[in-house]
Amino acid sequence: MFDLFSSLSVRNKEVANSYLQTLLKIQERELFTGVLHVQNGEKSQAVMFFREGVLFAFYTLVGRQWLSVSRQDWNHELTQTEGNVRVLALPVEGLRIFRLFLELERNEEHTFISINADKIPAKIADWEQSDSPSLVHVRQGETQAFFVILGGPSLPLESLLIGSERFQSGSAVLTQIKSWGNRACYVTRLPTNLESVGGNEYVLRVAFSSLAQRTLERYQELAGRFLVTHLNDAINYLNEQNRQSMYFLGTNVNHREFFMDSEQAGRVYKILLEKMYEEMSLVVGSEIAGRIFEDALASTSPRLRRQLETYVLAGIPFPIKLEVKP
Amino acid sequence: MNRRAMMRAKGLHWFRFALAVASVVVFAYAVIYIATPFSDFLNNFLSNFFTVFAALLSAVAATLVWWRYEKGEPPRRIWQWFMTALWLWTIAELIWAYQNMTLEEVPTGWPDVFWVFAYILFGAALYRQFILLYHPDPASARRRLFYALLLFAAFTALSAFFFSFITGQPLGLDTLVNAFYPVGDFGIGLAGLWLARRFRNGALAYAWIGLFVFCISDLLYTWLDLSGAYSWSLSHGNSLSAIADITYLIAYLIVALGCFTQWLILNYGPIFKKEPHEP
Repeated sequence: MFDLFSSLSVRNKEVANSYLQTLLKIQERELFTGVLHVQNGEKSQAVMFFREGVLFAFYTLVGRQWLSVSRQDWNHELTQTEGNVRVLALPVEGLRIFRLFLELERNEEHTFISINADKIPAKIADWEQSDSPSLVHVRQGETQAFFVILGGPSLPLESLLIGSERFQSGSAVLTQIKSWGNRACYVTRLPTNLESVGGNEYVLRVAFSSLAQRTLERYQELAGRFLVTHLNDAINYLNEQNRQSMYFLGTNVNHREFFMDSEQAGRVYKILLEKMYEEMSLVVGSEIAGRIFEDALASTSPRLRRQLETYVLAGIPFPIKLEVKP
Repeated sequence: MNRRAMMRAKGLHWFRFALAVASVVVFAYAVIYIATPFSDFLNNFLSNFFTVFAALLSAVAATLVWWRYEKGEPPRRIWQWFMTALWLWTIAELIWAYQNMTLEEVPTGWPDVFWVFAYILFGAALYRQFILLYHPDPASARRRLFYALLLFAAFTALSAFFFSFITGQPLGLDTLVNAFYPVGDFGIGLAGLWLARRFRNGALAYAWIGLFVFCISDLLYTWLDLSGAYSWSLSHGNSLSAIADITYLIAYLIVALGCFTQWLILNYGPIFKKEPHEP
């Protein structure tokens, strides 16, 4: 059985419930982003997700599975929670990866191997080629790395490295691991269908980023960089107004928002796509703006397309041909 | 007011300024043409000056757009052809104006070289825009281009025979050049209209709308000229020639405004759109 928290080397502290409440206030004051894990022996475990000091997600372990606690029950759960506390600061990207690991059923099949660090990139590349998605955890001494593999060509690999004092994410993680040379690492691969709440949201986010990026690339080809910058300004202004941590820069989407589920994410993405369509229509006309979206959607992998069609594109108020109706 | 709204207000300000300049030019030209308030020489000089000035404005506006795109950006190549074609028209207008002032009748010659070559460059700009929009496979694009050129040559030849037949003039370079203009206007105008419709409601349509309007006005001018109605109207003080010449000037100004608006949009964003909270 893979246990995410037992493998984490973070500071532990036994606390009573009253101190836990104080600890929560401290996190709020310090604008803490990361997770707080509370374990009361074998009896109970809870994980709280914070972003800039705000508690926004709460999970408890029920049996062998982590379940999200609904917001109205947080107060009740918090008065019950006490035990051994681990505090782990993480970037938002790390929180998202962490949630995927958390939501995995703990009794799922997994592969555990011990290999040299410099062989890991090739191993990850092998797993990327297979069609089945998986989560990969790498441990080398005090340092750990997490990978989310969507499975299938040209789908992005998301990664996070937690060292004793710093994080790393993106392609730098594999480079870092390779630099460890022939040091032995413990690698756990956890197959998943990514159909949990977090998994669904994760795939939708990748799908939206991919659609937005392809759309912006084509728009840039037709209208030029300056007009893409104007579109970015419009989207970023909207995101700022709605307090969404998403930033469009050129043809790239820097997505630092954490959505609780696909429905919530879908609503936001729909607004953003509508805004993109509106801005592009002013420059290239509505017909070509619609075609840009259609072409971008057609070049997106079928799996991502299905996710977009289910949560974002259904009922979108501009002409775009859908293959699958929900 | 947020930054975007301020940018848009600035862009709109410049658009209104350009519209005012264009209106003043049209008004002044119309007054000089119809009321002929000065001596013959000065009237002729000023009306020629305004036509060259309008052509120059369109070329400068197109150059601004071309300049705004960075090297390697696909629209820059379209604007490179478009801009060069407008500069050639400006040179043609300048030579024609000089000859108009110094000769009794302007013969087919240097201005036509620039005018005709400009049509080829407009064709190149239209072709590049088509390629950029539809990404056809290269063989199919070349085939379409070949058929379009073939059709164009056939229509020009047919028109030349037709003009030669109805005017009784021998079939020579003069007739061929005169036949080329209506076919060129028709071809370029239709292609411009087709592109403007693809970009409908979009800022990228403005320059193509301008080109379409210009071709229609030039078609009108050519028709009046070839039918003899233009010279008859001039000698009889009829308003037909005035309509043709004023429309011709307006067409240049529409091209200039179309290009200038695209430049404004590149600088200030879509200027004709209000944010939901703006008054």
